[in-house]
Amino acid sequence: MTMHSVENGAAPGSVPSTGPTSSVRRLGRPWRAWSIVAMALVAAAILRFVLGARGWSWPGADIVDLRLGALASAAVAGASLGLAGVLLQALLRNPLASPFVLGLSSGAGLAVSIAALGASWGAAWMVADGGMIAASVGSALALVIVVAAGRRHGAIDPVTLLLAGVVVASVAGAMTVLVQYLMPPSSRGDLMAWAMGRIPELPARAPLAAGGVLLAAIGAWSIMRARWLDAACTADDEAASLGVDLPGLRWRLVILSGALAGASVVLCGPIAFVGFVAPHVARLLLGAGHRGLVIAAPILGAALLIGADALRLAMPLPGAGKLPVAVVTAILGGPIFLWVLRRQGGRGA
Amino acid sequence: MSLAIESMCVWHGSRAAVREVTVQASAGSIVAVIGRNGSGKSSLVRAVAGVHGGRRSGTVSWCGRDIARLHAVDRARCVAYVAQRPVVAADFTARQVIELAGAVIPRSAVHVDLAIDALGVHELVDRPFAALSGGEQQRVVLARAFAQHELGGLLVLDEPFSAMDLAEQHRVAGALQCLAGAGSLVLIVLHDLALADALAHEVWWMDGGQLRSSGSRETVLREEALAEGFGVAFERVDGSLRPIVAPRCDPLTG
Repeated sequence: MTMHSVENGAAPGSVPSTGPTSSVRRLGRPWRAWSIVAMALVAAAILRFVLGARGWSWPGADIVDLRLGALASAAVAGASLGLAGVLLQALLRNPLASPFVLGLSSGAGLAVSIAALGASWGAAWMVADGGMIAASVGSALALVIVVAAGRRHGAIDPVTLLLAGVVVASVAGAMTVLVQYLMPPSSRGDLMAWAMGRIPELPARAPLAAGGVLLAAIGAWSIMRARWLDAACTADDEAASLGVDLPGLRWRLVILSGALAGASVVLCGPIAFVGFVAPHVARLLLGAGHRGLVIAAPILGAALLIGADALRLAMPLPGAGKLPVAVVTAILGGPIFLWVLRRQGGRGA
Repeated sequence: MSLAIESMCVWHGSRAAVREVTVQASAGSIVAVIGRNGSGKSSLVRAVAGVHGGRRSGTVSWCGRDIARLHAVDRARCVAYVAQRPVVAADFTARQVIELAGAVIPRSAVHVDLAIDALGVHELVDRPFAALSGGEQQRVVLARAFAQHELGGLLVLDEPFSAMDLAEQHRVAGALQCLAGAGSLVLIVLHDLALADALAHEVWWMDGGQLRSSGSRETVLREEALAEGFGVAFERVDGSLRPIVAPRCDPLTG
């Protein structure tokens, strides 16, 4: 195949595996990067386990379930966002993409607002199954609209999809404001609290289990297709020439990343930046190859959301109580976003 | 083994970029596709490689199999393609880019190392792909295609030399001649007619989306026909093996 094989008469065989990537070779010690990933999750989990609403304390038997419930919710939602971020960034070929560019959180927010207005549920609805059902329906509808509008000649077009997501998010956001305006003022506070993210300490079992199964299934698929995601980072025609069924891959990526983002919204409300920051930290540690990213980003996403939840408990604002978790993730994620933006701009990418 | 193109038409939206092209080529040769900008060269070779996403008609058969009807994985086993402008939207090193040859179809580290040897990109493999010069990027992407390519297969290259310096061109040209000598068919879009004359066994000349002429380089690359088609005077100059055609540079007047 090559000059040497021509000269030596060596026929290429069919040996799977391309060996370790050079990013790993460059790091020299991949176990160190993986240790950091694992330690981040363990440290965040321990921190959250010993932190409660009243500060540091080893949980007694009566509140262990609450802390484990919060840990499980944050772990599933954070990991879902981390994996959705990797898949969506591969789909859009843009490292600045986050799972919510598809407008799912806005769609869920609108549906939750409509449900709250229509049923006049009051304060209890927020943690009840009704809110979750509304969020599921809203995010699914937003995904259907965005996918329907984001096609060109029957195939998913990344740029059109991105624009459709922006439009759906804007329209749903504006309609949410309208619905909130029509609501009784006493209910607006609950809705605002949902919109800023909430890690439930007593999560409903069915959505949590469904989210966990979804995450495991999509995680397994992503590991099997990690090298396809690498190839999808090239131009359309080059990816096709490498053997990637690009239209089929894009359909799967948009549906799967949408399902993951929707699951996280259902579990914990819209939480910004986790789906963007986790893949970037994973890239810094392990390089750009998706074999490492699809495993490390969900772990780091879980660590980030659990850590943010712990941080808001550890640092209450005087007079205002605990910060909403989405505010903490935004405060942490915003500067990282700007740093990545500058880094991309510096390379002219 | 041979490549047979029958009544090929390729559209970009409503515009026909390639119209009724019928032509054949045999394995073990280098075919240069020449023509002016917008003449349909890239559209033709993209359709041949099976990567044109839009509307097309006609058939492209390689070894009796219609390339367009092959599954993407089967196509990748018999056709390797290099686009005009390499795009890698990730922070890959050059080696990672070359290793993409085995992203879907099985390719071993041996394939990758042989391709690195053939293109002489050893010193580049640990550098970020985005930090390489245009010519270096083209050599790296060619190495990826070499790693993907099976001897006796079809290699389709769209202007692979456009950013390379002369030394790089020389090295790559030698590697392509080795592949053709070993039974592969290399289909290559070229703007440099002297290079086409020096490198190719056959030439396909595209003009206005149609095949203006095709055949051996001696029959297609005639000075008077080229002058008429390109609007530039040509002459034969001494090459290392034989005289080759080159645009004539008349001294500036005034």
